[in-house]
Amino acid sequence: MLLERLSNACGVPGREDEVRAILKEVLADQVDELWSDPMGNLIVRKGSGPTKVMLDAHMDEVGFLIGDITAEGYVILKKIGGLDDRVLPGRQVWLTDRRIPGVLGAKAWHLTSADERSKVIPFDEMYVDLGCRNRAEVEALGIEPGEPAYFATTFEPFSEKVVKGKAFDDRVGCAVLARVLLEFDHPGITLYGAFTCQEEVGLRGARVAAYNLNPDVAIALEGTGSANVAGVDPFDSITNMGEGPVISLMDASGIPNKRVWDELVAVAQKHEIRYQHRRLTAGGTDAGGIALQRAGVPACTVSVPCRYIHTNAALCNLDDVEGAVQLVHRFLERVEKGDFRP
Amino acid sequence: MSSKLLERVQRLAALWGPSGREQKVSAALEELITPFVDEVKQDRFGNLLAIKKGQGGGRRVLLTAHMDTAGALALNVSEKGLIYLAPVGGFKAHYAVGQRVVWGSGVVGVLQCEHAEEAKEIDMKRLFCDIGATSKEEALDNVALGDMCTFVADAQVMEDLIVAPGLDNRAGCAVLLEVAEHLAGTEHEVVFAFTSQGEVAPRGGGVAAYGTEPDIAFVVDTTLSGDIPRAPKVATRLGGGPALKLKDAGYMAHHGVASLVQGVAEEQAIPVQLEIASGVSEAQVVSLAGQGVPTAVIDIPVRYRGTAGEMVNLRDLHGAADLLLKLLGNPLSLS
Repeated sequence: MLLERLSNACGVPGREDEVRAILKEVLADQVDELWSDPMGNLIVRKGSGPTKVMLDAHMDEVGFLIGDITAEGYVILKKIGGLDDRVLPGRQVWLTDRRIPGVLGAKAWHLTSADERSKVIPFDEMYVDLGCRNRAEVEALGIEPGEPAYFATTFEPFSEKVVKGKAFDDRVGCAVLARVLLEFDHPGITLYGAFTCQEEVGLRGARVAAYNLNPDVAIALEGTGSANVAGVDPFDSITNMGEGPVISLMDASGIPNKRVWDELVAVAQKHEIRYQHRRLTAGGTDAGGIALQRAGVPACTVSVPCRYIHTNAALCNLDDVEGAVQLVHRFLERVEKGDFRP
Repeated sequence: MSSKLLERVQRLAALWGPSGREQKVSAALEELITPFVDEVKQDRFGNLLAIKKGQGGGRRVLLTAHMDTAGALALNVSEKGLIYLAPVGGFKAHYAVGQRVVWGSGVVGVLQCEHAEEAKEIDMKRLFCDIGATSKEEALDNVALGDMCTFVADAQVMEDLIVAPGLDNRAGCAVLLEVAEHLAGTEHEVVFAFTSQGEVAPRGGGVAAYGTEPDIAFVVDTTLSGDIPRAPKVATRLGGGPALKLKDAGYMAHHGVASLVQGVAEEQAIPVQLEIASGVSEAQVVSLAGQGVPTAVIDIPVRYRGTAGEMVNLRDLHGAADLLLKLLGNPLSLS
């Protein structure tokens, strides 16, 4: 499964090389043109029709950079992107793209006071233990400040429909985009697939990609938070994993173009694709950055709901992935036939 | 100066148009400005651009005023049919309690807060809109998730003062119309941009500036009036004239354009206030668009901004229009 390969690949913002290599390999023979721009975005083109549609999915994931190595041989990390301190202590991590194993250490339970046990360990007190005894041993492994670090999580299916992995934000979007490119042809439009970099640090790659491509309409494909889980009132669940792809309402980065939004809803209804909205306006997606390029780009976000996003182990439902693929395909079909003119 | 200014402010303030949903405002502005300009078009972002050609030899001047107002978005509906909201732009829960709103569909509702013992407990999470529905299904038949609402209230005129919701920034839009109407032969090509999503971020102004490639820009917006009790310390007051912005959180006044504005104001005896503001304005995205645009901000002081009772002084609007007209009569050469 492509999602499995993409989830297991490592790529913090600016270090998306592994993800880019997989996508290149999978797509190269199936598209009309493929190139990387100077920022690191991987762009593919299919078709050469009059309307230019950009589908975006970002390749980077939240993770860490190595900040320092202590004299005692511990590695100090810096976060890249929004990570929750509550879920970090004790996690296994991979240091550098060579996946050198380590563990985010914390003082043993036996040594903690009752007070300490009821508190979240502040991130600046966490360190990675590689089993080294001093700085020289760490350096001998080729570990240097500035190198990336990742959650050491391997993709696995939990059930027929539900899969677990790291980096579903946004490898699930990359998988949806790649599948749309591989499984359907829309020769009547110019379809750009933009696999972008550095989303998690400010929607950076997508802005550059949209500026260069200057599309007529754009859809950002995302993995988004979902909280239909124990202990959360269904009213507050944001999105529900297993209940279809998500059409965004609004977030901190942008208000979806109303015509594109209406069209996506109409397409979902027409083809009986179960869909939902994201009942939260915090956060941002590439659509917000894309919309502002040049003289404006009508844009919207379609997401796959993922539980435990931005942690070491997220879940998603393959039916939601399928729904997102179908929704995007049907939207492209409308543009291709001239039924929707952006 | 015509008496149409008041009429226009009232008409524009009554139009429904929160951020990203400015279509009705755009349509009305298009109708109002068409007689005064050579070309009107919409860009892909939803900005309305009206172009008045110059007599030649001049510069391309962009005047912007965002045409959206703050509002709220339907985010969630309870089993009982109450609609819970997310703010769009500068929408504050404590200004909203008890107010009436109208949704894009025309449905009217009243805003209330879940029971709170103290004012500080009022927040967006507890604020809801009651449209009289008795179930979730009935509410969703009238208001879909993602729909937006804005305050509804009649405009009141008290001598020079106007009170209405949405004066931020329909007052600025009215100023642009006034300028368009009275702009006699000028060498400059003037682009009037009524921008989308100025209340959020802001966004549309940068797109408009990129698309029109102006040599110089004037942003017309509203600013906090510092003459209310315990207001942040800003040196603006109602009736003191338009305010020339020197700095805000995303913008430093372009020295050349600011000097030009001050020089013309002095020469023409138009009172101008000076303002240093704390928020961000459309000037941030306009001034940084494309290769960069020398930009000045002419603000209209507003009391009680973000409430259903925003208050402006008509004299400040006249002053802003007058100042802009005089500026457009200037060669606008920047040293």
